[in-house]
Amino acid sequence: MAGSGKNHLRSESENIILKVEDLVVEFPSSKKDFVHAVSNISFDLETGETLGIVGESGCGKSSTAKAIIQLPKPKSGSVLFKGTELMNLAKEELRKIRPKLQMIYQDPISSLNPRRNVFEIVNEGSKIWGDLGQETSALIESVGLDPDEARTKKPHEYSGGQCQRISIARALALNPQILICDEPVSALDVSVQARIINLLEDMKSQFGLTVIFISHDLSVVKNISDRVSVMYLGKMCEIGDSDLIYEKPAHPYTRVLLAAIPDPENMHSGTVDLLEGELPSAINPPSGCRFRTRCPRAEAICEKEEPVLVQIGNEDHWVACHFPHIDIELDALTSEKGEPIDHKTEDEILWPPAD
Amino acid sequence: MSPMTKTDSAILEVENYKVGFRTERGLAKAVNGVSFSLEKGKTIAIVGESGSGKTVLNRGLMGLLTDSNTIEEGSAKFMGEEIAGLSRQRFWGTNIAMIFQDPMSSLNPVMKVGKQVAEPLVLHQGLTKKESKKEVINLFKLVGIPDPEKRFSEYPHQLSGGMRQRVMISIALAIKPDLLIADEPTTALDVTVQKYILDLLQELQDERKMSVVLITHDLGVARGRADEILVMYGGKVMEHAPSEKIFTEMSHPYTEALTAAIPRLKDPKHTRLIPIPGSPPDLVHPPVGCKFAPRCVYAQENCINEEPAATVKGRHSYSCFYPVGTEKNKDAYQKNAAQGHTAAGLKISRRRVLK
Repeated sequence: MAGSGKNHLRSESENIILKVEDLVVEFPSSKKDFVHAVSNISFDLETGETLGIVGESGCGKSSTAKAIIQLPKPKSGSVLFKGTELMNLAKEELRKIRPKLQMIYQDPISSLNPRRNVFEIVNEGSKIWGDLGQETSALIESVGLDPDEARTKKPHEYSGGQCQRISIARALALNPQILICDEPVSALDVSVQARIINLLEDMKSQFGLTVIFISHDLSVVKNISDRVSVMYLGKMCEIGDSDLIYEKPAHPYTRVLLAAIPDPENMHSGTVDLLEGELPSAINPPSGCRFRTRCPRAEAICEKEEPVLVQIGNEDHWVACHFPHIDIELDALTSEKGEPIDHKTEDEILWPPAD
Repeated sequence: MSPMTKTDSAILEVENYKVGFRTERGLAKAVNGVSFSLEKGKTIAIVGESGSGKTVLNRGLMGLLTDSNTIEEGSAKFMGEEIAGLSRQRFWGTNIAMIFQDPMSSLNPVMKVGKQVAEPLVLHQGLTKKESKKEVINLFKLVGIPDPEKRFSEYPHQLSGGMRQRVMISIALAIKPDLLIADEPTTALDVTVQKYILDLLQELQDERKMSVVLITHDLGVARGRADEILVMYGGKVMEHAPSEKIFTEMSHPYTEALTAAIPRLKDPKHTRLIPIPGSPPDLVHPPVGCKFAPRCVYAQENCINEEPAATVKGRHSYSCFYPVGTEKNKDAYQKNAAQGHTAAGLKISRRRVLK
């Protein structure tokens, strides 16, 4: 998997609201060892777009999200929000920009202050920042709760789904431009989940939001995202248009993830075997492609050389793999010995080669 | 009464089973007359939202609800022997085992995992410490825990969620139970781990001719794994059928609503989900008629005043006056759509067309 590379960045577009380049997040695990949570990830977001990030626990999706809002500051890389480099900002400047980047967390109940009433929780942002153009009662109403009740009730008097609505209202109170949702529906029932997803879609169009949506539930991500990024052990395997990724998954890991979805109409089920073993340690990640230790297609080259993200066809679909699953005619590009086509320098890559 | 009672090889026969809790507000009827039977070596899945009574039903059957404010009524026969209202402790650790929902909090944090798995072996099968260790290591191998000798003397916090759930499964399987109750065994886990755990349970079940009660809120999981599906709502059985029939001949509006709320892989991105309107019923003062009527788009006058009896068609039973797919159902919808609301006052907007 694994890929680095920046070919997939849409630098020509003027609509880019967030550009993340070579993001590295490491946590010290002992005196000399580091957990390599995120290694050289790059991606960009257009205004009004939803990017879904999927992967198993421990793949670095939450670390990526938190690194964007500098919680904590990533080790290296660049996070460009509307032309402002967040990595270099002083504390006070960062504080001023944070309202524009809001986050919703997985556990709706523990992310709300249990001792304050719900109105205060939603209102706190505007109390600190002054009028941001969002009226608190109207916001509470727009997420489907009663504002008068909110003045008297505390979070524990609401159900999990309602608490997630409160979290959404609290995030929207600051008039954000980017909303980062870290597993917002994982703790919720199917019916409540449907309501929160619909609410997020409504709020997105109403407030003109750009959304990063993190989840391990691939059906949910498929539904809500314009683009999807698949992560494994701190690297990006595949990124592109969500329909393309789900219809023609090219990375062996994406195929494993898709095959595991318990959807009776899942066309991917049974196509690949499950992964052997556990996720390797992020302290000493495998060399070359990080997925090679569990990959059915791994060969010698995967150990030596890290694949970079390359485009498939002319579509918005990028994969980082030496032996991707692509259409038969494209497979013919691989020599009979199973050697991948030559792509040593990333600038020369065209897949398939232009006529 | 269920069409599937009275078979010779039934391991569990439940007849008009009820569990109530005395609360300050009155008696909460969490399970209100459930009947089903489970044959040896088969799996029944119990599906419903939170608050539908599926967990209470199984904790009741297991004999875990012995509080003086809990009332258990009706009949439940385990291997032909009446168990309702009696102590079931002698079955624990010998014939019936249970896997709980949350693998993080169901293990003892200050006890080595190996010792926790060995406990039932020492207590119930009289093995020595040495013998039990050997057996535990075998079990760890069976459930796919790598490095079993090392894991034996680790504590729960040193294991990942998937590994902890595998430890829970090995505790449940240590005693070779006749009946395994699995309460949302994979809800907290990643899709790939979920598939592994479910495959593993199925394999062990085939090998040992074990019967399984699988509680889940995911109809996708239920469809692939269970022989029969029982859909519960408000403490009652809404629909009960062989697993495929639930989908091909879906009859109850609640089953339909549950299915519609789940995002499906084959739908294009941004497909609007259809959540179930309203919230689960108040169990102290449940609706007089059909429990689902207040949230049902097809509800008519008689649904509110009268509780529908079960319609039994071979192995398929459902309790509804206007079953999905019939002319009556279409007429009921037309009528409600024309007047803009159901008999229970639920608003119907034109967008809510299910088919």
